[in-house]
Amino acid sequence: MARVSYKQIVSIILLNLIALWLTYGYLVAANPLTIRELQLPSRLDCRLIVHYPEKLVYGERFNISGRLSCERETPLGLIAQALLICGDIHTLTVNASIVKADGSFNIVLEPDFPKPSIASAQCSLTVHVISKTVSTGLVDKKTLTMIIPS
Amino acid sequence: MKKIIEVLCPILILSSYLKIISSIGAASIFMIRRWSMLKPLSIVFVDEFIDCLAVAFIAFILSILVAYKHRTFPSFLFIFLSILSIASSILTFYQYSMSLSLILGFLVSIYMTLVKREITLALIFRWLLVLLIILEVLGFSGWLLYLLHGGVNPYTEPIPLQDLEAKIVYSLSPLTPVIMTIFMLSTFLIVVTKPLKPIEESRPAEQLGRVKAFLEDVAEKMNENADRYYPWNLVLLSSSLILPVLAVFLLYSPIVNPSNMTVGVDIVYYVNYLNQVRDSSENSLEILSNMLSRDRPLTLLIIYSISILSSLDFKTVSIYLPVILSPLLIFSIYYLASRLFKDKLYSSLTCFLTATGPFTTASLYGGFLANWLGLSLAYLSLAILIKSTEQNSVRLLTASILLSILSHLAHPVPWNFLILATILAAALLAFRRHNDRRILKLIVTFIVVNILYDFLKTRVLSFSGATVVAQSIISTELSINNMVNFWPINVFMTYFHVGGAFNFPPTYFSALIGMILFSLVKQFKLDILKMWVVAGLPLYLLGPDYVQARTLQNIPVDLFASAGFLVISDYLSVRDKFSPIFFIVFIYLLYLNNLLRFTVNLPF
Repeated sequence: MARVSYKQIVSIILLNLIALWLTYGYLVAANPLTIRELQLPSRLDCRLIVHYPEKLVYGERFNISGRLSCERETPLGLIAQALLICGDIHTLTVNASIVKADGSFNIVLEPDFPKPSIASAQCSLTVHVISKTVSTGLVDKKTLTMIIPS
Repeated sequence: MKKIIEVLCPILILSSYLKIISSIGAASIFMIRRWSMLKPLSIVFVDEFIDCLAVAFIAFILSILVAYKHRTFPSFLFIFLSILSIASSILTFYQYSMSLSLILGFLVSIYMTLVKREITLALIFRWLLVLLIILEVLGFSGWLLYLLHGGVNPYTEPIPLQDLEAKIVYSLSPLTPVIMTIFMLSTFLIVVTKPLKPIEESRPAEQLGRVKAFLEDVAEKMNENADRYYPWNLVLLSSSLILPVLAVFLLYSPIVNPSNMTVGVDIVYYVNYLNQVRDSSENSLEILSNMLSRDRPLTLLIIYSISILSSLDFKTVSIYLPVILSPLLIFSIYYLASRLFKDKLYSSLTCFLTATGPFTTASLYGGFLANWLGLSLAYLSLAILIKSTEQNSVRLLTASILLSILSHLAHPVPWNFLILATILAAALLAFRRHNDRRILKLIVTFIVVNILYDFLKTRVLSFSGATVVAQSIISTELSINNMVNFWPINVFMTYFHVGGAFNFPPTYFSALIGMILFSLVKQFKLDILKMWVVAGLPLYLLGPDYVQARTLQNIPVDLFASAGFLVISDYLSVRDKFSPIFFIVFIYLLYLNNLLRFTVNLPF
């Protein structure tokens, strides 16, 4: 009978450990079947209502409040993320807030990009509802004018 | 009838697969970043019920045809399974129905190819490729129509033509982090599995021997065949030169980017730094000295010089710099690949995969200009170093050293990889029994001169440089904690970092096959490439998401991937004369659509 060398035993143990680690990676970390994102609300059973500010002023903070109105309970662990994109370079401003159990959220944004040399700029404000890893597809967008004080 | 079964099998497999990924959500979860945020992400042709019933009927027809030809027990089992699939569809258990149909598709294929041996696997694969090519052509037509005639932004409203193609690619997403990690670990895995040889003359030993002989044959062919598929060489090479340049212009075309936003995250840093240097310096000498003190002076100097010569601002020059950088990288890769193998198809395919694959999409998204330039120079330096060892030429060695120093001046990361890979390969060569002292001397000279140069720049002149950056990354970014949280970090990096540019499974799957092929060829030039991957392993396992991404960006993954695709193509060419052509067409369209998905599909 052929003898198994210690090198072969080490190889088998190492390969099994690596295989277990990779299987965990595939089945738990990366697989859509085990990521519970499927239980997230879809656009069909939830509605996103956002209240935007009337105007944006450079250098001033502003609030974006809103509510996630669902037919059933609002799922826990959701985040509302606001993205502000103004004019040209260096203008992306992002902030996020947790969606509370009653579906409400309030995001505070402050444009932190260098001051543009124009009097006003067109800005696009987008609000997404996301989980820790993916978007739920619930999104709302509005174009606003930002006033830049001289 | 054989022909009908041959065609129906791939149709059943593909259609049931599409419906399964739609129902389990695999098609939707990981594509959010690059696809619609507004539309439901399921795949529906007519409606869920009719779609599933149609697929179940295809399964039924297929099983009847098989039973008509062979009145055996398995044939009647196939009929039973197909009836069960129809019943599940009627009862609205769509997921079970489609799973049954998919299983049936595979079972019939196995039965007809391996048990009855009436159809070859290559023929089924041929028709599967034809179907996939149709989907790719649809995807490409969708992008083309959008670019020529406008319409809705595909980022917010997916167009049905591109939808199926994108969903099939992204349905394989869960495999990407795993395959990517196996590829990074491959050299280590090959060493670990070495003691596990099957018992001589056993069936596994025989099968392993056949696979090894086939791969050795492929490697031999790649060293002999200089001009196979000649027209494809031209198509692939010219596409590699033209497509990324077109992509840069597309990114700033009114239809793709109506608000003319700057694409390329890092571009802002180049622009800000150059503006700051120009404003704070009194003369050109001061500007030059300021730039030299940084870790990427050559890139900064190029942007600055072009801006001065062309009277364009720094931002415009930075935005359009890939128009020069991309052809330079393609030239370097073509030259390096042609030093590795004589096969021109290999060289041009490698160029094409680089020009349209994760490297270019990530570089465009991230604005990794210095890395782009540094890697081009590092690859060129390596190619000339390999040539100098083959010809024992000091003149070529000098050229190689000069290029590596330029790479050091362009960006610290590619230089670090180049030097670490050559050190590891030299160590490997030194420990080999029949080592070539002449090659070793040249390599050691290359390493020593480079390290001395870095020492002079970073330690004597106290400027920033490659080893200082490496030291800072190792001391501040690498940690055991990252290794413990490897999967969440890696999954985030794959799906979200640089817009999910690395989430392209075909590259890593074929790179893995390529690595197996490379491991069978014991040549110094291939050792350097394998060691290049080994050099990235600690960064990949211990680093945070951006370090993992930079590692993938800086390893020559396309040189492995191209070899992997040629292994598959050669496997098919032995069995069917059309399949290799279909396969190359499929790869071409798959990668072309990947580039389009990234450049045309902006979130603005």
